[in-house]
Amino acid sequence: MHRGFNDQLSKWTARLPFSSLRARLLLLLFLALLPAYGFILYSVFEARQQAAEHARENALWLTRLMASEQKSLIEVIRQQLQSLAQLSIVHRPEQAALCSRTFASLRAQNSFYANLGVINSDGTLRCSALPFAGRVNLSDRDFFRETLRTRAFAVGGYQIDRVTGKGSANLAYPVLDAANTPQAAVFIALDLGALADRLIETTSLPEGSTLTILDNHGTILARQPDPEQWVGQSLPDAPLIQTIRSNGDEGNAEETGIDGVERLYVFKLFYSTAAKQIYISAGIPTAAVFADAKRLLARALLLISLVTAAAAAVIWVGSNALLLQPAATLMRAARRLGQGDLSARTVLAHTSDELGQIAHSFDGMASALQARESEAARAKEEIRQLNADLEHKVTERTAELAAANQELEAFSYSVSHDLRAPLRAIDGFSQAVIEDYADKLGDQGKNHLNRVRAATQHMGHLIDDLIKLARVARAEMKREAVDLSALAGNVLADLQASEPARKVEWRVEPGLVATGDANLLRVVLDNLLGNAWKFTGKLARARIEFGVLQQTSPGMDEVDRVGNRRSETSGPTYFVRDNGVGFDMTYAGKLFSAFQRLHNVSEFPGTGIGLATVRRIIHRHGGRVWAEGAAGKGATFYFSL
Amino acid sequence: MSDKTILLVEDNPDDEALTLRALKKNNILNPVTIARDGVEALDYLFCQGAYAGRDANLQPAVILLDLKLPKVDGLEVLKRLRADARTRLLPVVILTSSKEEQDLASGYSLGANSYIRKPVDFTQFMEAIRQVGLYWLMMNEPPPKK
Repeated sequence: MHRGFNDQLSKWTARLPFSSLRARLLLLLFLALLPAYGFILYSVFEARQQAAEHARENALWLTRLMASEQKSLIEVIRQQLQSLAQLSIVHRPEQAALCSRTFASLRAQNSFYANLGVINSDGTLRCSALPFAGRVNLSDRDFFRETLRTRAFAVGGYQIDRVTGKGSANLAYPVLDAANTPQAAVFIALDLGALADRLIETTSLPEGSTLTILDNHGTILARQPDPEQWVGQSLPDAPLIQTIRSNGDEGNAEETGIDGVERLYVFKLFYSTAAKQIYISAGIPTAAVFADAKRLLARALLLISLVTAAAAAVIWVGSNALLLQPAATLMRAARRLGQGDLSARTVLAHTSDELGQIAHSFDGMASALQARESEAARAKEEIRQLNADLEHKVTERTAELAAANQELEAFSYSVSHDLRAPLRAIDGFSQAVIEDYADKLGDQGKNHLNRVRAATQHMGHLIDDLIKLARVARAEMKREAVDLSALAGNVLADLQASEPARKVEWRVEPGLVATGDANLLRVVLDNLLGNAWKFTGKLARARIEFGVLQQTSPGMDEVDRVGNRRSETSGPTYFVRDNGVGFDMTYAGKLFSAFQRLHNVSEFPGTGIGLATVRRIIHRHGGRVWAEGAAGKGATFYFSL
Repeated sequence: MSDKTILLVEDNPDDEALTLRALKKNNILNPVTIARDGVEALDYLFCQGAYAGRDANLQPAVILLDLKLPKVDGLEVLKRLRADARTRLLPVVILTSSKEEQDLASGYSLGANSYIRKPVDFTQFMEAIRQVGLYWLMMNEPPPKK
């Protein structure tokens, strides 16, 4: 998983232009600083939330305060109206003029009294702080009707005044006669605009804040600032009105105000009848609420940007000296090495840090390569030298061998030709003496000369056989399929022809085909079968057999004699068996040496070279030849090819 | 029949004597001319050198040719005989001690009519000479003379 992430990262960085070490370091720096950015944003968000909360609470507290002040004010006014209702100038209609004057001075003392006066029970205005002309009938006003009906204090008319065009509230108290019958009502009309003005003056709302008194229909009764522009307007669809309607007595909302400014509004219900609810609402500009948070954010961002820039600069400069230059040096050395310059080295200090270790490893590797290369070159040169020497020696030896061969050739030729000539002379002239001087020689003399002749003829055979042996040794071998069965049959037929009188029972296993030189294998069979023929010569029932060993047939060999016969020979083992005089196994080792004979020449003639010739031929075929026998019990000669 | 000459080319005096004895013992009484090396044999056959005055029409009925000869050896003599129109058809019997295959092969390929190896056993030698005489001097019809 960790690996997967690394792979992803490197894939990603490879795709983007972050492939250089420096760029990667910078990327790492930004990644490392990300939490700091996050923390800053979170802190600012937190601060903003707190500021909003604080502002909300503050505003709510203010509106509550204002609402309760309003209620206290109404109570104060009730008491004032109660007092006024006792005055004679209120009771007596004839003192209406005095009443009006008194009320005018009262109004002058209270900036938020829009008007005050007395209304007759028929609704006509009797006296008023503000001058009025003709007959003004107020019998339809709710506060008037209410106070006459209940004979008690009544509040009403939070509305736009018909006379002043200002938002106002009217408070009334009944004027009762001796019979406790209401004969008039005294009232005070409050100037809501002035009230709001005073409220905003006594609180410490931030600049751009608004204070609005409005009813649930969206009619603005008072607003600070800019009352002229907004008072009297009815905005039932304004967002704040909607919020108020759905929230009830008290609440807050972040809304765009009617003047288009984003504000945090807090509102509270402070007067309510069945028909209408009157709210007071304070709006604080969002900008003001969040100004601190914004400033904080700007400062923090500036600070961390500076830190980032400084760190990036340090990395930019530092990476060059600490990473990029050594990396470039390593790269140059690697490139030179790659181009075959084995003397390339980093020449960086072999310090214990990673770069130093890489440089150390690289230099070590380059040295090892160089050493190996020169070692290989030296070895190559040595081999080349050895080859040249060998070539030279082979040429020399071949020439020597050719010379030796030629000498041997000349020698054999000379032997076969020159050695025989004197023998022929000895034999021939001995015969001549026997023929020409028979009468003078006597039997003894003739016998001696016959022995001379026999000896010369034997030597003639020796020479012939020696020549044959030598020829076998140097004759060229031609490998082909040879029908051994047919060959053996021919040899035996020839032997029979040479001695037609002999009765020999011979058997040749048919279909034995081997690979070898036909002429040389003929010599082998000539000798082996010739020997068998010779050494059975004295038997009445001679038996000669040529065949192949059953054990060496492939299947049997695998099963029966694994590792035994197999390790000795790889091919089939042929044999020539006779029931002749045999031989003593004690001397079996001498059988195949030249001139070694186990029988008397007088008994069985021979030169003692035949088996040596056989062995040489078998060896030249890569085979083996051995014999088994016992004196008087025949002999078996085995050979493989 | 007695005018049929035998040319015996033989450098070994023992072999010469034995060959003559064998001929005589076999009752082959034809005249025998002896050349003791290759040069002498060629001189005789081509009537040159010591034999410059010889009648070239009287060529031997058979040449018994040894191979190992001083100066010019038997194979060379054979080659020159076969190369010359006068002697090209003369019967040549190689009579030698050598049984080397290459001698046999080159002898026949150069146009020898027969190849006989001289046996050590004189009895066998006699037999060989008898057969040569019988065949080449009595049975064989020599090529017509020009």
